Amino acid sequence: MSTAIHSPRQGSISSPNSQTQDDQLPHLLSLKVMRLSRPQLTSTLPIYYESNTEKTSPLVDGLESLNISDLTASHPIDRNQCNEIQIRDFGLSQMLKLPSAFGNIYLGENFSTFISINNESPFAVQQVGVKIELQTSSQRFVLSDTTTTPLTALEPQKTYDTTVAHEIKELGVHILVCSVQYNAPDGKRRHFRKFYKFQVSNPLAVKTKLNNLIDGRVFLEAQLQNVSAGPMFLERMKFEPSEHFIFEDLNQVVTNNDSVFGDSFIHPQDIRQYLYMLSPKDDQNDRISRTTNALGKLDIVWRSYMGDLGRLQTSQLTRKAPMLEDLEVQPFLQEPVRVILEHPFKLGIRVKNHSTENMKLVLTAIKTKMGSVLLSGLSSVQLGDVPANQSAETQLEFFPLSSGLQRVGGLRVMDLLSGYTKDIDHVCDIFVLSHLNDDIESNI
Amino acid sequence: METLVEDAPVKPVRATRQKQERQRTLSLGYSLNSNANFYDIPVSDAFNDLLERYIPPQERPQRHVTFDKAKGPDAMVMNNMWRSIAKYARQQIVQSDPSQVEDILKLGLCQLASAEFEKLGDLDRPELCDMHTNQSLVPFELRILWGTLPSYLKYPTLALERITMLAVYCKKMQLKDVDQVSLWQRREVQTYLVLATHWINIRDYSSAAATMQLILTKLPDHIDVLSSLGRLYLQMGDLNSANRMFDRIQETDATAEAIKTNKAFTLMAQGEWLQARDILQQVYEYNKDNLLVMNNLAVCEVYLGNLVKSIEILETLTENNPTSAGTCETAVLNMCTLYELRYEDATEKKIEVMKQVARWAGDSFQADCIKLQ
Repeated sequence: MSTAIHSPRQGSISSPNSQTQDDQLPHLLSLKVMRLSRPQLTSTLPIYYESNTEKTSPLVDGLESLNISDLTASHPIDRNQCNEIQIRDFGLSQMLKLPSAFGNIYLGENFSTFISINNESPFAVQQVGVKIELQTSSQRFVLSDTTTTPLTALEPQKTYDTTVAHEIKELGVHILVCSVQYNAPDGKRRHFRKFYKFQVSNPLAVKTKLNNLIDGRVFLEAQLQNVSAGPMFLERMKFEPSEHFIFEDLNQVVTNNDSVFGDSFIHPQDIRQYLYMLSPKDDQNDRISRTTNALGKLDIVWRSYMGDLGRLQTSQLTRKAPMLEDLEVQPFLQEPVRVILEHPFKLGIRVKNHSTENMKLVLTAIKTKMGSVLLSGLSSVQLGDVPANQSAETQLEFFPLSSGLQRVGGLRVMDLLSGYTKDIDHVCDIFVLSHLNDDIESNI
Repeated sequence: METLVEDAPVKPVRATRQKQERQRTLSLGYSLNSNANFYDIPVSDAFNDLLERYIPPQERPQRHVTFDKAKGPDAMVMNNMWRSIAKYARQQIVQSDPSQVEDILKLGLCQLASAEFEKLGDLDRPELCDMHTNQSLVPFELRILWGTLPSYLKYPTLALERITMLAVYCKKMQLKDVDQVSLWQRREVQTYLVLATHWINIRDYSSAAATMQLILTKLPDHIDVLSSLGRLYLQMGDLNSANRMFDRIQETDATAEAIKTNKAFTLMAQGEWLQARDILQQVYEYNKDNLLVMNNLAVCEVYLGNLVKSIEILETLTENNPTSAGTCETAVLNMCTLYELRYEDATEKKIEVMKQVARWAGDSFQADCIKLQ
C-alpha cells in the first residue's frame, strides 16, 4: 500500500520496492505533492449581446443577470463609463486557477512544490520528521529537513504542510525524494519514502554564426529558438563579451532605438537572430583577441505565464580561431572622397606586420588582377623596414575605367628578407560616379 | 361588323410592388419559421452521465432542467436552462431573433449551431435585406455569433478571420449608415474586444495586446481597457508594461478596489505571495460581496503553505453562494485540485461537490472541472 501509484498528474512516480523499509503494515500517514507553478487567469469566450434601450428581449435580460453573477466575467470598474465600451466582451478574467497538472519543467526555472502529509488514521502519531531531497544525475540537494526537529504530534485527519523550492540548473532526470519518519501509537518507529521522477529539458536552443573580419572584428549572429511548450517573454537578453572584446549591440532600429523585434514575446518554435559586432579591446595589441576562441556569453532572463521566472546563462560561445596571417593590408581614407569615372583618386594603404620578425616590404600592383580600377603611377613601392607588430603606410593613386560598384584589388606585398608574399585580390569596394554632379560619396 | 378590342387592363404599378413586397416577406417568414430549419436538440448531457455513474439513483439530486413554460424565457436564461430555452424559441415564431442559435451555443452544441447557420445561408443575401431602407435585417449579434462560432469548433483561425472582416464591416457601415455612426463606432470597438478575446484563447497574447492597444488609441485612458490590458500583460509575463498600464489608472473612489486588485496581481507575478495576500485581505474587508477576491485569496494561501485554510475559504465561498461561486468552473476546479492534495483518496469529497453543484448547475456546466472520469 505504501507503493501506491498516484494520478499521472503528479509526474511519473516510481517507488522501487526495495527501498521502503517497513512494508508489512499500511502506513498511518499519507504524502501528496503538488507542483506550484504560477496560477493562471481563466480565459473565457463571452457570449456577445447588445443591451440597447429600444428593444428589450427576455434573452438579453437573462444574459445580463447571468453576467452579473458570473465570477469569470469582466465587469466594468466604473458603471458611468459603460457607454463607450462594454468590457464584458474581454475574455481574460480576474479569477485565478491553480495549476492542475505537473506541466513541463525547464532548465533555469524555479521548481516549487507543495508537500502535504496527512494523518489518515484515527490515532495521533508522534515525532514526525520529513526530509525532502532532489536527486539529479550528479548531485543530491536537501530542500527541507525536519528530522532533527520533528513535529511533536500529528492528530488524526490533520495535515503537516510545507513548500520547497529549488532553481533547476541541470538537465535530465530529476527525482524528488520524500522521506517520512514517525512514531506509531504502539511506540514503533516507522519510515517510508516516496519518489517523484520528472524530466528537465532545455527551453531555448542557441546557435551561432560567425564572420571573422579581416581587421580583427567579429560579426556574431546568435540564433535563439524557443523550444519550450509555451510562449516566453524575454525580460533580458544580454551579451557579455569575453575579456578580449568590446561589443556593439546591433539589435536596435537606427533611427529611433526601438528593438528590431517589435516586442519581446517569443512563441513556441519561433526563432530570433541577435546581431553583435565584437571588436578587439586593445586595438594596438590585438594578437590575443585575433586568435582567441572565446567570444562571450548570453545572459537570458525570461518570464512565462503570470511572471514565472527563468534564467539561463549560456556557456562560452566559441569560434574556430582564425589563422593569423603575418601580413594584413587595410585601405584607409583621410576623408570621404568622391570617385568619378576616369578621374584619378588617392587611396591610403596600411600594411601591418603581425609576425615576430622584422620585415622589409615591397608593395606591387599586378595589372592582370586589377579589374577596371587601375593603378596610376609606379607599379611598385618600397615600404622599407617594418619591425614586428608595426605598420607602414603609403598613398596609391588609382584610375577607375568603369562606373558603378567596383573592386579595388590586385596588389601584392612581398617581404624581401624571408621571401614571404601575400596577394590581395580584394582591398575594398568603391562606388564610381558617372558624372561630376552625382551624389554619392565614397566612404570606407 | 366592328369588333371591340379592349386594351388589357393595366394594373396600377404601386399595387404590384406592394404585392411583391408582401410575397417576399411572407416567403422569408415561412423559410425562417419552418420547422425544417431546426435540428433536434439532444436530451441529455455529459454532466448527467457523470451523475449516473457515481451516484446511486436514490441519492441523485434533481436537476431543474425540465421544460416549464410558465417560467418565461428570462427566468430560464437566469437558471441556465438552455435546453428549455431552445425548445421555447423553436416554438415561437422566429422573425429575425438570434435566440435559437445563441441558446444552442450556450448548450455547447456548437456543431448543431453551425448547422443551423448553414441552413440560414449567406447572411448577406438580398432576401435578408429590408426593401425600403436597404439595410440588413440580420441583427449584428447574429453576425458576431457566426464569426465566433468556428472557435468553439476548434477552428480558431477561421474565427479570427471572420471577426476581422466584421470589424471592416463596421467601418463600412459608418460611412453607409450616416444616422447611426456612433452605434457602428461602438460596434467596431466591441468587435476588436471580441478579436482580442479570441487571440487570448489561442494564447497569442502579443497579438491580443496589440489589439487592445488599438482600442486604447480610440479610447485613451479608459480605465476598463487599461486594467484589462495590464492584466493581459501580467498573464504574458511582461511586468513592466503591466505596471505602466496600472500606473495610468487614476486613484478615485470608483477605482480604489480595482487598483488594489491589480496591485495584488502584480505582487503575485513577482512571487510576493504574502504581500499579495494582505492586500486581497484588505479588499475583502472593505467589500465582503467580492466573491472573486475570496477565490484569489484561497489561491494565495496555497502558495503560502496554508492548505487547510485555503480549502476552508473555497468551501465557504461555494456553500454560501451556490448559484454563482458554487457553479463557477474555476472555483470548483481549484477546490477539487486541493482535495486531491489533501486526501489520499479524494473521490468521496468530489462526489459531494458533484451533488451540490447538480442542484444548481444549468445545462452549460462543464463537468470536467470536478476531475472525475
